Amino acid sequence: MQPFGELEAAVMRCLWQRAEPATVRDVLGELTKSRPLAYTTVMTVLDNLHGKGQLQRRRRGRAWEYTTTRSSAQHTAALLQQILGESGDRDEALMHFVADLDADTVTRLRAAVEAARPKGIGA
Amino acid sequence: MTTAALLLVAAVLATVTPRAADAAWAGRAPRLAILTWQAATVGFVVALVLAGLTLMVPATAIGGGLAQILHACAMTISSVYGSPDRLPAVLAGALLAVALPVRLAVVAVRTVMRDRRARRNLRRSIALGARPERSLGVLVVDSDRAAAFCVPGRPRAVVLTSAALHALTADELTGVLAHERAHLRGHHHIAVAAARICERALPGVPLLAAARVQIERLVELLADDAAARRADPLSVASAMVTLAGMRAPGPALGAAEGSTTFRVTRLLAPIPPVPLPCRILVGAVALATVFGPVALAAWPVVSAVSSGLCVVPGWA
Repeated sequence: MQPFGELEAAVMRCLWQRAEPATVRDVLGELTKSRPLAYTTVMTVLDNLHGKGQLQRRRRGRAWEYTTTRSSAQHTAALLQQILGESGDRDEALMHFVADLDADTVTRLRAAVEAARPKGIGA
Repeated sequence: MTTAALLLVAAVLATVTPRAADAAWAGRAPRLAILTWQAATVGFVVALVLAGLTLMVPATAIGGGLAQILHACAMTISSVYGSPDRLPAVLAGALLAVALPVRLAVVAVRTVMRDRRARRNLRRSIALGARPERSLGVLVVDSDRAAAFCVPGRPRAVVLTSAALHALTADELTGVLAHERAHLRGHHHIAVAAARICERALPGVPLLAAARVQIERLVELLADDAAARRADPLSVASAMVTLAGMRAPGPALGAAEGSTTFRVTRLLAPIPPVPLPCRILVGAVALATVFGPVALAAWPVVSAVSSGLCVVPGWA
């Protein structure tokens, strides 16, 4: 999964919030509230995102209407999947609280923790 | 002579130190242990660079200041062209004194740039799917998988999944957050990155490989200790088991397995800290590792000056 660029992220956020198909002009209207952008810039970003498979589009009159292929939740799930499963560059970029363990080790450690718990408090 | 001694120091540091990797005191004094690994790494690199310098410039020239060093340099170069038998030594010297630091610097820049890029992308991706939980000062990502991690750098962030947030008790959560904040506050990622850079720049050196593995492990212990002070050791251990138990049942790395077991066991049966005299001893050894090579390289000069054979201007 390619990470989004800054403008791509803004466009995706905008489309997720709308929850209905949007034309270039719709997105432009939304985004120019916070920064000045050219029509062609937004058009290029939407076209790129479509090329990357993040957006679907269909003709409506003379303009394209864009919708996201994945919901925000699906995107986040995929992202997390990648963060948790990854080894390599991205894994070096962050520090996990705890690594993956197999079920046996978890059971054994859980037993050790419960045994150490003062009586009458824990399960 | 000096060169041989310096190379010997480097060789001993490179091969003997890794055997201390499993020393029991390291788990009781993680900060001191990290400093010791860093000292051994610095000592190793300094010894190699100085050995290279002594090969390039005869030690007798160093006492006379910059002019004489330059003169000796010129003499060395001209003597190399005159007699080819000095050439291998000077080339080896240049390799150690010039190529080694340059290689370290190149790998360092490349690693730092790549980490920064990866973190920037990561922060952007997370920002897109996370909501800030201001009361806790964390970012929450909605997911049925439990995870907690931090992204160092600027802006730094502690990230939790909603599943982790639900699974943890209040005390466990305090422990997890204190652990991640200890990483961020202590800039642990810099110590880890430095060790990775050294290993990457000089692959195959047992010392550097061991130092990287140990520093990665020791910063976790350091953060665990901070968490145990904030919450209580039992809650931190319990949080670790809870989150590990909810992670994907994928194939785990053997090393991670052992180190997590060690972390939990260590929290459950707190061991007394290392007594002060032992700390001082270890610290002294670490200092000696760094400054030993320097002293070794400077010895011919110092002894000549102190015995009055040479007079250095400004040296009373």
